[in-house]
Amino acid sequence: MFSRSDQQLVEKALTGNKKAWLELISRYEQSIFNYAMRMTSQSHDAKDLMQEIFISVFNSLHSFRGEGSFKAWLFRIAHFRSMDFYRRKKPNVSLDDSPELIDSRIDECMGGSGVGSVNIESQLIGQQSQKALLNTMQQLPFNQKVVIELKFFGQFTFDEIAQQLGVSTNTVKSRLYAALGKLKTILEVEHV
Amino acid sequence: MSDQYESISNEDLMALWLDNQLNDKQRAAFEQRCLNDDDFAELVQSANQTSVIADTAKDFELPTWDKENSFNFEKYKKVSQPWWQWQGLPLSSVVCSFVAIFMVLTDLNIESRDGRFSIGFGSQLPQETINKLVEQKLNDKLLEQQKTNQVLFAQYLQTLQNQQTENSTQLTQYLLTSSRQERREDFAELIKYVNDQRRDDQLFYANQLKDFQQELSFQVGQRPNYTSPNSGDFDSTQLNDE
Repeated sequence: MFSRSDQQLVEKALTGNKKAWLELISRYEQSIFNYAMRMTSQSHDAKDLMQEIFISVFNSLHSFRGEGSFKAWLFRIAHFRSMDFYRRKKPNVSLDDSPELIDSRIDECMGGSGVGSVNIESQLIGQQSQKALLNTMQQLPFNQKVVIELKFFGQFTFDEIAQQLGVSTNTVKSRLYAALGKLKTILEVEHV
Repeated sequence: MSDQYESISNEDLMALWLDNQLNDKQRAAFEQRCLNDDDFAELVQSANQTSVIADTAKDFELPTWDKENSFNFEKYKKVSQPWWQWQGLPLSSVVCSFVAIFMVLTDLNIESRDGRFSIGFGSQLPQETINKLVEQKLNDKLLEQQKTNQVLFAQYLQTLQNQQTENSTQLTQYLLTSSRQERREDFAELIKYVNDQRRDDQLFYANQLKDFQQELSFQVGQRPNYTSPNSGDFDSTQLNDE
């Protein structure tokens, strides 16, 4: 059977078709949850954020014109929701400031899938690296963390990221460059 | 040329490398920068490491959550599209545009005549029809002009007649008045003339009578109570009375 495009599912959902909406969720819930996990580092926060994102997406569904990809539009909303979430959680911390060190529990949710035939040792190394990176990401300011998330995990181009964040491409480049500098320093310290 | 690529910033080079958009010269500049700039090289290494981790990253275990709760269609209905965002609006605009273009291209001709609208295509009428229309228009105009002229002429004639009648009346009145005056004057003149003539006759007869009296007085005797008309004591009223 032919799979329906995101645009078609959106149109169906707008007419009140719940099945189409649930199919749309199933396509993107994993990537949105991954995004939320990396942005919040807490599974229950990530779950709340994911729920907020999808509610917000549904409420704004009529404004989706289909001019760009649905994924880009979805992550644009996800960014604003996570920014809002971050401000609620840390009202005294600026989006450009580095947060205080937190007790990260990312490993609680890791390793749930993809075991299969992959070598267990390399899998463990990969998991360790991922955990280290994600812990390091939590020490970045929100504005730099979101650029790292969208660039390396979301695989968006700089122009797309700029459009999603509502800033210039040069700002995105600067934030990424600064974030990489901090990542390098933090990773070096952690490895030492 | 190489200066151009040497002047490119580290951030731009990094961005081009991450988006895999480096051309040959930019790639050469990038590699050169990695060799000469340790900080830049370390950042590239960091980016590379992050990219590898991200590519091999596993999904987090998805929690169970109430997906259906996000489908709040009743709430959505309240924020349904306003009428000006109706999807049919652009379509109707396009249709109207095409209709307008069609009308322009086909020289659509809409005529209103005698309270009727007629729609036709092509504004170029045959020359014969145009001539007929012009002739008809001219005839109509001429007829209208003639009617107007006739009315004006009749009015003018009437006015002229009235004026002439009035003039004739005035002339007659004048003539009558003037002839009466003349006749009155003529009669007065005649009466005056007759009176003068009578006076002359009376004077003549008075002289004759005086002469005759003198003759008589010579013959019969003198009558002293008689005065001569030529003397200063003569009273003409005496003649009238006589």
